[in-house]
Amino acid sequence: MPKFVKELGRNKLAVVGIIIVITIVLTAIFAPFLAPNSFREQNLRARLSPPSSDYPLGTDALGRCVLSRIIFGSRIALTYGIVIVSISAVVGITLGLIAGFFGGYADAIIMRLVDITLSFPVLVLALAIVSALGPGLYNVMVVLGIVGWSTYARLVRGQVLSVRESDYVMAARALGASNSRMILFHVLPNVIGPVIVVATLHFPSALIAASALSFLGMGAQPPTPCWGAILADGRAYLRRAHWIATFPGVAIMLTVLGFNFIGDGLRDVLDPRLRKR
Amino acid sequence: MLTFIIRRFFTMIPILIGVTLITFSIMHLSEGDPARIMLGLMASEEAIAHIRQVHGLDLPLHIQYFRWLGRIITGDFGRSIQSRRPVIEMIRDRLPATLELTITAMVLALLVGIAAGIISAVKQYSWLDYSSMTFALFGVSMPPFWLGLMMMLIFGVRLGWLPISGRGDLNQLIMPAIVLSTAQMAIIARLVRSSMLEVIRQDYILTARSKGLAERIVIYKHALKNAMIPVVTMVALQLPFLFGGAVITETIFSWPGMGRMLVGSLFERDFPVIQGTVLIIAIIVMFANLLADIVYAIVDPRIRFD
Repeated sequence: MPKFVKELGRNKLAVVGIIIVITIVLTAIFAPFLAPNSFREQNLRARLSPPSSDYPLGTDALGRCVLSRIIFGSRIALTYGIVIVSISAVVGITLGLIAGFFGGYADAIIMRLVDITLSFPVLVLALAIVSALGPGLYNVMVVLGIVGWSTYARLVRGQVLSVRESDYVMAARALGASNSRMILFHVLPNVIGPVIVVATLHFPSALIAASALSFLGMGAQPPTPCWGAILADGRAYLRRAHWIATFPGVAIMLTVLGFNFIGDGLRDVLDPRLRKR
Repeated sequence: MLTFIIRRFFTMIPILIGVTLITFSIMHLSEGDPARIMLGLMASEEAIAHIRQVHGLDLPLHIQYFRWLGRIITGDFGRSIQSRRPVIEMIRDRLPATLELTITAMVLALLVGIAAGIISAVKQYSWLDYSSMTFALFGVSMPPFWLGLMMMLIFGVRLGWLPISGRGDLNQLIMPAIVLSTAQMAIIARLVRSSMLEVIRQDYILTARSKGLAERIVIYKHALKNAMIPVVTMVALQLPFLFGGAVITETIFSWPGMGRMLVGSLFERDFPVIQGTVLIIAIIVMFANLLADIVYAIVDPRIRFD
């Protein structure tokens, strides 16, 4: 077992985080078996019912089971996180490698692009673009993925700048290795550690941003059970049926907490300066 | 110092051009005719032709961009499609509310975050440290829209202590400011703690202590000053998030700021309002970053010579 996995196992919060995330992943996979009811079936006689044995977390304004919608919503939540983080990481790592490795004009242009992206609040820019493209799950994921690349690019560029001058890269260059070979086999493996930490910590913020867009009506459209959208449905019934808004929020918070625990643990393991602090 | 500020100011020009390019492009990202999208399917051909002519939508894109940029530079952000009011006037009406909320939230986050961070570092591994760091972990993990609704439910609906919407009274500012500041507060507390812990292990702190200085002077006069340097950068980096959070907070609490105006205009596809709001927010963030860089250069003179 790699050393850092063992060290991560000794970090109690990271272990709690891993347990939370595994539980959510299993919930998403086995959603049809775990959900007590259909997530889309309406029972108008039971609308706005408080938690009961039939509906453990109550029902919404259309009489749909809130628990079943949350259970199925975990699939959307994980999809949001995975797709957004993957797009941002691929774009950011690629541009960061180019900027750091080649320097010169490429570096100057990419770093100005980073500055431009960082001038926009992610949520504001994403809202504006999604409203132009049209609301929907797919557009939210693509837009949040694209606007989130700058952190990765900046990080990877910085790492590459220090790795580029190291002896083993010099040795590879002296042996006649091509640029692409040097980047893929010598530089990339040495910058990936911090990227994993950033990606783990990006996942929860991506989930919150995507849920916020859904909350504002820009994300997955009804009847797709998206946590942010269920919460928004509950807003109008806060006085009469608070459970519609309460429980999806708890689900988002737990997921975010789980990833934050893992991210913090990974950072402590991979950055020894911060250990025992 | 002046050279640093001038140099830093000039680096903003290409960024500003990029920001205007992206803002301008927003309208053209939508599939189909922007004029029809703005006016809806039921609009008459005359109305569509009028919008096309007003916005120069039949001209080549680069010409449209330069015309738009020329107008923006003179302060003409166009008129709202829905209300027909000049966008700049609408922004002028809404900006004070957004600034009031964001500045209050930032001050609150700094006060509580720095205090919690210092206490945590000075009393490391005490119950105070554990409880403030637990609070910080939950603070960064709570979705702001959920926290807002839960506060409304508890303090507004159930206990009736605070009004759940509107602006004007100080009472109405409490919940939105807390909601907007919670995540920032948590981030600042965590950062101050780790930064303080790093600083208080330095040799000069040991020297200060061995000189027999009181612990309070060592912490507040020697350690805190250096531990604050990363906080300045963090505050600048958090500003975009604060404005992003303001969009949500204003919508939940019906706070009459720019964020709420933006959300309202999204569904109407009122592009002049969307573009104007996004551009103004981006410019505020850019200038705030410039200010943070200047403050950073003042507190850490090494930066100026980079």
